[in-house]
Amino acid sequence: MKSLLLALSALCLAACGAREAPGAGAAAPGAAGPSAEEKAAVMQPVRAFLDGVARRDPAALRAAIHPGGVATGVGCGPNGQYNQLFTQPLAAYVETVVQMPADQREALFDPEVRIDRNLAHVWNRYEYSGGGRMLAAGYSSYQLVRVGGQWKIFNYSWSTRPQDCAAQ
Amino acid sequence: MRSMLFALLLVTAAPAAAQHAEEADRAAVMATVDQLFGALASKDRAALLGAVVAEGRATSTGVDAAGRPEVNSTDWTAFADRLARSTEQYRERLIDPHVHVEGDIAMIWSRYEFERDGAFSHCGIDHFDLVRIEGRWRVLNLTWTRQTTGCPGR
Repeated sequence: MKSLLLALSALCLAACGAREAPGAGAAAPGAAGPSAEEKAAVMQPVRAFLDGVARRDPAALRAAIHPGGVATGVGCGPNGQYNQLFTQPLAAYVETVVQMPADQREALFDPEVRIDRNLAHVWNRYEYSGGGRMLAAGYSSYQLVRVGGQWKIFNYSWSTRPQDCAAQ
Repeated sequence: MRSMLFALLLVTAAPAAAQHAEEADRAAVMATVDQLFGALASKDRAALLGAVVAEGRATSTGVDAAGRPEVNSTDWTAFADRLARSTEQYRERLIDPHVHVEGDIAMIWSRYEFERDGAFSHCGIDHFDLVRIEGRWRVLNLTWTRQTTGCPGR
């Protein structure tokens, strides 16, 4: 019995502590990764975007984006069914999002920022709330490009959770 | 003793099951990238469009002849059309990809290497956005950088 317990402990030690092998980091292999300053520069249009959504300010949203990309959500269909895909040009999306109820807010958590030359990526968890309760949660992905020395959001995509469809 | 054994089984089973699910998700995401790269090599328009969301974007970030930053982007239908008209042989591979899967979206950030007509051409970083719809992963957006010097091992 004791040997069986020891064997099971060993199984957990092998599997429980395993982690995904580190992949290509935020810069060329062997480099130190982006500085805090570089990360802040990438996060600036992302935060300006969420701030622009919260204030229903289309001009602020347009300033944060490059108009060539797409906004895509994996979320809830009109009948509350999950796993519907919505894609539209980002330039059109920023015009529609300002029509949403004014008391809804998105908070962003634990952003991961990767940069290579004029490409950057932000991956974060989000929570979307309104009327005093959480309406949706999931993950956001922003692909950004740097043009004219400024980072702009090019593609924006996000997930929602199946249970968020029932809540709406 | 039996309850202790049961507790130990639960402790080992849950993380092992979670890791197995993570590995299965990662494998499914990478299989979609393999399908895309296979279609690139074979110039198979239908296989390429079967691996992507057509309205997503294939986008390069680079510099023009004068060294100014340049963004070139098309949807996947236009990308597939261009591929079908191309005459060079293309081959792309990822090196040590970093993958995140959360629910029905995923991302890959990876070094890549690109060959034209069997010879090394360039390298850079690929970033993929993927979505899973009706149980099937598709590449939504692929945005990349490009460099011809400073490629690892070249």
